[in-house]
Amino acid sequence: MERVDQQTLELAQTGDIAAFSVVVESCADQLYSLAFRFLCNGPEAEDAVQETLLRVYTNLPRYDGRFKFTTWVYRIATNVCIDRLRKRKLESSLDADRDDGEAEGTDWYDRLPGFSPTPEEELLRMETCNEVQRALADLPPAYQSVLILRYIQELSLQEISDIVHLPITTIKTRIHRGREAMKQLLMRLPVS
Amino acid sequence: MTCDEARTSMHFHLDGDDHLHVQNARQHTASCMHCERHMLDLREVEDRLRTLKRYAAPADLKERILLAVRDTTQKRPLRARPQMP
Repeated sequence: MERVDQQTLELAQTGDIAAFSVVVESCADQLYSLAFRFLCNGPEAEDAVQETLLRVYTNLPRYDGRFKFTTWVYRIATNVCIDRLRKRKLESSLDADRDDGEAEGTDWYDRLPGFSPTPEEELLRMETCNEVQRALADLPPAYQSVLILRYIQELSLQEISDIVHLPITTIKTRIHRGREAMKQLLMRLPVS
Repeated sequence: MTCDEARTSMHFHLDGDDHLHVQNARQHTASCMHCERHMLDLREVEDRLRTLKRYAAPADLKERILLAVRDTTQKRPLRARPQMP
């Protein structure tokens, strides 16, 4: 994320929309990448970025500078994405109760009648089938988030520790287990 | 050093730590084919995670957010903490 200068930040804290647009410009791309890796779905990632930045705007007057601004924004974004994953899990378990796996293999696009994706959307959709992304999506959110923050956002262990409010030793343990789990998922011997 | 110990220490090596146990693990790995393979696999996991594409946010998303912000009220700041004399 690009750094936003103090003056702009203070203006945005008083509700200055022009100043807030600088904030949006500085972090929208990174947040979209983050949300996309969590949710594996373009439209849902867009919703998550919007929800994140509206929360940032709403709570901005209460941002007290105790953590770096980007750390504070990442914390909100990570919480928004994990909440959405939890809700999705809950909904799919309710669906599974209703009809026994009838919707197996359908995805977001299939559920919209008469919706034909544009070439870019089709590309995004294929990318979501990328096996690394799939393996990542198979991990519990606690591991998923540290791997995304470490390898996609390229943050330091200290920053990740500030974002998720856990000690560095815990972050390391999660990264270690996350790497082992990814190895298992990606390098399974082919079934003969 | 056992293979299990070496595999635990490998992760600290990947994190950039250089404790004695990491150095011992490096020595072990140099002479153990299985652990060397394990290390290469973990590096590959890292490389593959790093090469996942980053996407730019769709242009209209930023516009939509700024429109929505106009209808959003900010919370009031929390009262400033009392200053130390």
